[in-house]
Parts: sequence; structure tokens; C-alpha cells
Amino acid sequence: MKRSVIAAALALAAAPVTLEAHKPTKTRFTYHRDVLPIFESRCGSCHHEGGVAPMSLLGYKQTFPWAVSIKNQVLSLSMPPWFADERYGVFRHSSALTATEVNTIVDWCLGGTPEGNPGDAPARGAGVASRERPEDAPDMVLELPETFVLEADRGEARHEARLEVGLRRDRLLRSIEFRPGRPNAVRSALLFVVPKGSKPGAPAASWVAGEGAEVWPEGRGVRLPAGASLLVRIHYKKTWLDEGKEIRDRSAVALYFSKGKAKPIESLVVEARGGVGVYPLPRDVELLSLLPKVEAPLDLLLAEAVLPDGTTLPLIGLRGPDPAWPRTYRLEEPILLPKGSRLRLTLTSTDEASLSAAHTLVLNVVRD
Amino acid sequence: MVTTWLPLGWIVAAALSQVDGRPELIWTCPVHREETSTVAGLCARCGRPLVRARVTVIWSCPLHALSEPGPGKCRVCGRDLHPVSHEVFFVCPMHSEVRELEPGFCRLCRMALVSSTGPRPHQDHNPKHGGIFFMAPDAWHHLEGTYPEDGVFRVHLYDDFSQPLSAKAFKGRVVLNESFDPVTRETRELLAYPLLPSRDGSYLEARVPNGSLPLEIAAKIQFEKDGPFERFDFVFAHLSTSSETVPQTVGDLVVPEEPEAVAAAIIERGGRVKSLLARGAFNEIYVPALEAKDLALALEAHVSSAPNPASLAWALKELVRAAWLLDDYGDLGNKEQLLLAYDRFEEASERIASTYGLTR
Repeated sequence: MKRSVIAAALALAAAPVTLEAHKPTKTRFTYHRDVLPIFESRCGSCHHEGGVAPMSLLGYKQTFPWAVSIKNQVLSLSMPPWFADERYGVFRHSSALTATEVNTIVDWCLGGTPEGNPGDAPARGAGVASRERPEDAPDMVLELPETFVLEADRGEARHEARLEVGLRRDRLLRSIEFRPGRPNAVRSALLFVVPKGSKPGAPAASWVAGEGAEVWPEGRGVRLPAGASLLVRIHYKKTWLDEGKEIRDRSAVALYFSKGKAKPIESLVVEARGGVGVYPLPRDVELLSLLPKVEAPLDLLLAEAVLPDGTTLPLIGLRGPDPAWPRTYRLEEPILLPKGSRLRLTLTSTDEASLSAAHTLVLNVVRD
Repeated sequence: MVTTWLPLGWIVAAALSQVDGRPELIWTCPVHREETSTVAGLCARCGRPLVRARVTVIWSCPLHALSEPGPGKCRVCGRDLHPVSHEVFFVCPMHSEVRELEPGFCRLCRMALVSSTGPRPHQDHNPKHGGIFFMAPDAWHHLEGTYPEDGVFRVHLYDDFSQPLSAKAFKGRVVLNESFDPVTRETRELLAYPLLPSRDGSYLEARVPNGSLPLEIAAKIQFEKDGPFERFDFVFAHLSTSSETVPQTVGDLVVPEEPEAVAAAIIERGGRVKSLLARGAFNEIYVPALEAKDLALALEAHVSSAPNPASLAWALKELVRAAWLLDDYGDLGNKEQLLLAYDRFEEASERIASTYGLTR
């Protein structure tokens, strides 16, 4: 039989006792030994010096004053901003906290935020969240044609820029990487491939602060036709550290072309108006990733595939998705969906106005 | 090892591990004395460097300023004594400004210092009048609701040392009936009565016609001028009597080896949370909630071998979050927040139960 540590401490109190003020909230966790490794792996890609978050969590003195806020954010599921509910699908690069991690953080926040021994800290950067990107150099790096200026009196802006690629023949992209010029002000970006003479369709890739490149699975790629351009929609948002300051940014996009043959990735778009959307699949496909584009806060976004035999297969479930974080969720394993399946998108919100917004779900697939 | 709000179990441990007859030294904030640590550092609230202090437990009457070194009854009124954390220091009998951590001699007059104790904030949340004790969201004001006789509801107000405050400084009302519009998310009070200060200012009182037991009543108190009216939910199963104490045993938590048994223990704690919630014992909910949380953490080691690992992992995480919220909201006595947290707790419990084929 095991006995928990907290119980051992409780047992020290004479029993029976009357109500204790503020309860036994002592913590056995210290910042350097227990908390910092979690912050490095789950939060550090944004919460570092100069990152998009307004405070670093990678140093004790910077972190402990935020203990109450950290506890509230973690308990309310607001942070880390990873909204996929693991009951509906398993995705790569999850920043979701485990039960033990939630408990360690909250217990430490409530239990006196002890620093502990700096010598217990993991090697610097050892646990920082994966920022996936190809190991080789990009084939092409395209900067924004002009520097974008976010004026001193504006806190937030959305900016659209067209990047001319200048290809003379069709290519397939195996990876695309958005590179923020001012990482502390660029919150997210959507990238569209726009064939010559066409209008932008569904985004080919997305990026949110803290992420690396979009690296598609081996043998899969996004088609970049000759003469096509890239459209980049960037969301800028200042932290209070930059309030009243002018921000200048010239972000860039790095392109990595496929070396050999690859199957082209297509985007299927399911629109949900009034809370429900249905899309019948015209062919067999292999589902690689999903990009929910939420236009207003929701309680739940649920995407399922109703297979021809009537079986319902959950694809993704997002709890409390936030429009500020348009993230692509990449499946750990591709899902094969047969022709005749019906993709069903169901949205839930206590706010009717939120449901009436034009929410969409982009499914990145290849023909099977 | 570090603590804040000075948990009693730790204080008892510190008191038991006395060095040279004196309680062990801890670190505490010179301003926020409830912030404590076993190592040097900075106050989590204000960033000031922590200073040394000694703490111990004395047993105090909830009503009379009498204390004993151990459990027992008050010599005046016979009430059970309650454990309360105190700081231990050495003072000069002649110079009150001389206060040292170690015994010795006064630096001003060379008289021998004598041992003394002083209270610490947030160490006594025991009701003084047999009622129900809550802390306000500002973490400074505290209050106790009592129902001493049919049709009479009273609120006693305290500071963070649980010292009485004059009720004349506060405004409030009690709400016996209200409606909630789910569309506008607004609550309308249908039946409310003012809380008026007693003549001597020792409490706020409202006359509650037809206030038959069990009585569910919400008090809305304004602590600061122009501040919000904070809500506190009370449930009285019987009349408050000043001799009544709140029994609350915190026992040893035994974590079974088998995951099915751990799951069953979680479900059992869930039942206790539900029962406490139903009878309005909000400030007791933390015990089964945090025990369930510890059990859930123990169960996490079995996730990979569970029938539906992803579902169980989600449930454990959800339960841990909900347990901490129940602990938090239980202090504040806000039923609406507690019910929302309990919904999450219950959903997670159901998922754990179904994982192991248990019925709730």
C-alpha cells in the first residue's frame, strides 16, 4: 500500500481536528526541479525573453509574481492555448498539460512558489517545445514586400501581404515556414497559395507564436503552380511592454521544395452556419491535419466523419477554441476516410451570436 | 519544503521538531505573514525578501482569548479548543519594541528576554458563534453566517486575524428567492431583506419570515464603499448554537495498488463532495476533493493499460483541475461557482467509473 505525501503531512496534524484555515496547501515542488521543466516544454516557446508572451516563465524571479495568474490560467484551460480534447483525436506537438503537470503547477503556485536549488534545473533549452523545421536550408526565402508598421497608438492589427514566388514550373512544397520579424508582436499567420489569375482559397498552412515550420509527412506536399503567389495574413498584437511604441515588422516565408515525387495535398472546407455543417466526401481520402478557423469564441467544436456503414468516427474536438489561435492540428497517424463518408461539423455555444459567425474547418487531405 | 497560508499539519510537524525547546525556524514575509517558506526567497505577493520566524501551534477557544499548549476545553465556556498557528519570539518585559528570534538579553536594558507568541493571519477559520465561516474574495475580510433562532439570520465580520469588525462599516442583504435568465445570464432577486447592523455593531441581522429549516440563504455583502456586493451561500440544517463546533477530520490517505480500487476510491470521494455540496458545507469540500485529486494522480500511472487511455487521461486531468477549483471556491462560499466546478468533477468521475466498469 502506498501513502501519498500530502497524506503524510496531514497525518501530522492531531486528528480529529477542526477546520484548518486555508487548508494544507504546502508544496513539495520547487521551481527549478519540478516547475521549470514543465514551463520549458509547454510554455517556453512563447514565454521566453523577447517572446510573444509578455513575461518569461524561464526564470524564477520573472515567474513567481505571476503565480496567481498562472494558477487561474491553467485551471481555466486558457493556457497553454491548446484546445484539442484528447478524447477525440491524438495530435503531434501537443502542448496540453498532463494531470500531473497541472497539479505540479497549481500546487506550486498555491504552496508558496519556492525557488529550490538552481542546480536542480534541467540543462538550458533541453526541454523547450519542439520547433519542427527541416534540417536543410530552404530553397527560397521571401520577405514581406514592405515593412509593416503598427503605430504607437494601436495595440493590434491584421495585415495582408502578397509574396511573388516567380516559379516557371509547378513545384510541390514539402515544408513552409513563417518567420516572424518581430516575434514579440506577431501572434499568428495564415498562408495561402494563390494560382495566377485566381482568388485565395483555403489556407495551405498556418503558424501561431511558438511554432516552427509546417512540415508535411514524407511523400506529401502542397502544390505551388508556376506563376502562383503566396498570400500571408498576419495578426499583430502588442503586449503591454510595447504599449505606446511603434512596431516595425518584416516577416518572411521560407519554402522547401519536394525532392522527389509526392502526393499533392488538397484542402476540403466544411462551413458551419448556425452551428452545423456537413460535407459529403466525393472520393477516398487520407486525412493529415485539420485547421479550425473559429471566428468567435465557442464552447465546443466537434468534427466527426459518418462513414458509409453508419459508424461515427471522431476527428477533432476543441474545447473553448479561441479565434486568436488559428492552429493546425496535425494527426499523429493519418486517417483513411472512404468515399461516401459525411464530414459533420458541430459547434456549441451558449451565445447564439457566436454560432451565427462563419466558422470553417479546413481538412488537409490527399487522395487515397 | 515550503508552505503558504501555514498549513496546520506542517506547523504541528515544526512544533514537534523543536530545537533546544524552540520551534523550528521558517522564512516569512515581513508584511504578508501568511506567506512562508522553509528556504530563503522572496514574497510571492510583494517580492520583499523573506525574514526568519518561529511558529508553533497553540489551542485556543474560538470565543475567549484563552489558549493552552494542547487540545482541551475552554476553562470559561467549556468549548473545544481549536488549533491556531502562532509566531514564537522573545521580548523584553520592559521594552515592547525589542523582539528577537532567540532568547537572550534586551539590547536596551540587558533584562532577560521572555518567550511570547503572537497570532498570524488566516490561521483561524473556525466559527465563533456556531455558524458557517467563509473568506471574502479580497482574502482579507472574513465572515460567519449564523441562524441562531427561527427567522433571524446574522452575519459576523472579521479581519484576516479573525478579529471581529464592526458591522456598522458594512452593507448587505439576504436573498431567499431569485430567478436566473439563461439567455441574458442575469439573476433577478425575487425575495430579499436588508441586513442591518445591530445596535452594538457586533453583527448584521436580517429578519427572515417563514425561514423554516433547512434554510438556504444567500448573503450579499459590500465590504468597501462603492465596491461590489459579494455573494455567500449558506445552508442551515439546524439552528446555530454557540457551543457547536464543526467536526472535520482529515485522515491519512491510503492509495490502493489496483487501479479499479483507486477508481472506486475516487468515486467514493465524489459522493462525499456531492453530499457536502448538497448540505451547504462548502468549506469542508476541500478534504474529499483534494483526496480525489491525489487518487487521480496515482491513477495516472495506469493510463496506458486502461481500456481507453485517451479518455482516462482526459478524465484525470479534468478531475485534478476541478478538485483545485472546488478547493478554491469552497473557501469563498459561492454556490454557483462550486456547482460549475462540481459539474466538471462529476463528468470526470463518470468517465473514470465507466473506464473501470464501476457504477456510481
